[in-house]
Amino acid sequence: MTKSPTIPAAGRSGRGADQHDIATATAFSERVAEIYAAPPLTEARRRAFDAALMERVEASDSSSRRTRPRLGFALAPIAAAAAVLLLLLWIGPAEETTQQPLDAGDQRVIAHLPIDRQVDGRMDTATATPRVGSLEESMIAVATGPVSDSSEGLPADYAAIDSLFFGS
Amino acid sequence: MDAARRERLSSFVAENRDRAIGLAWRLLGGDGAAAEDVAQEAFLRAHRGLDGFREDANLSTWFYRILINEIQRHRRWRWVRVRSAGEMPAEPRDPRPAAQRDPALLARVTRAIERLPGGQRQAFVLVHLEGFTIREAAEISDKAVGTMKSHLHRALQSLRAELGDLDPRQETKP
Repeated sequence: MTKSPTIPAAGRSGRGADQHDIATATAFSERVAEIYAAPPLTEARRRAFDAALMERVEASDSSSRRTRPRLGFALAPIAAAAAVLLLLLWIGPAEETTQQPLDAGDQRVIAHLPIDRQVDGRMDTATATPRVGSLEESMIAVATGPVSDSSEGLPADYAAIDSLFFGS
Repeated sequence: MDAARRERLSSFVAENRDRAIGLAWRLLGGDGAAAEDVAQEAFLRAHRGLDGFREDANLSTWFYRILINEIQRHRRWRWVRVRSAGEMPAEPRDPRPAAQRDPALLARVTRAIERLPGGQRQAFVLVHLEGFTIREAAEISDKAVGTMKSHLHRALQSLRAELGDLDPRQETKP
């Protein structure tokens, strides 16, 4: 069975049909556009619109000019707090590294340390206690440092509480 | 505001005012007062954002994008108001004198366009009623050209089905 070739209907298929459809669609859209349109603006309406807009623009500009100094005042305490924080961060490590004169108690503690942790009769702070440094250094110190008794070095009142509740 | 900036804004408003209000009117279901409010807000926002406007972009496309955003915002706000307060949508009010046209036919066309999904309505109004090219409409709506074409096709199909008496295809049928 052979398929008979399609015979295009005169002027109403292929490109012709497309053209017709586009033409009717365009005509339909134009008809809708004609019906569904805003009434034209009168000259008075245009002037009123422009005047109202310019008034809003002026109000917006002047309010933004007024807001700028207020914003500065609002940000001043935040800036001051940030400056203080930076100062503290800068001073903090400097104080920790300052070597304080040793009192008698410190001298006794040092006397019990192994000899390699003493330097000229003073505590070698570099090896005896982890140096306060970056977060990364602290993490390494926690991870690799010796496991010690948690009660070691507790103040007297905390040690009493510790022994009372945990029996250590 | 300095004189040069004021002059620039005034000429831009003069060039685009009527079209902006007309477009807003069509996308807000024929509400003339809302159309003017939304167009003013769009001009104001454009004025505020003018410093950040990139010169390589088309100023007009950029403005109509702002306008479309404002229209969408207004429609969402109106929808929320109707839903939350149980308020009926207000009849389109237009302070301007009514044109010579059949009010029943206008109401029917308005309903048909308002019933279209948002993307289709926007595509149809921008391209078929306002005369933007598909590419411009896609840029304004922030959509792909293919999406825009698909919206246009569907919108046209729906409207031709609903407003058959306005379709020359139907009129020519015996």
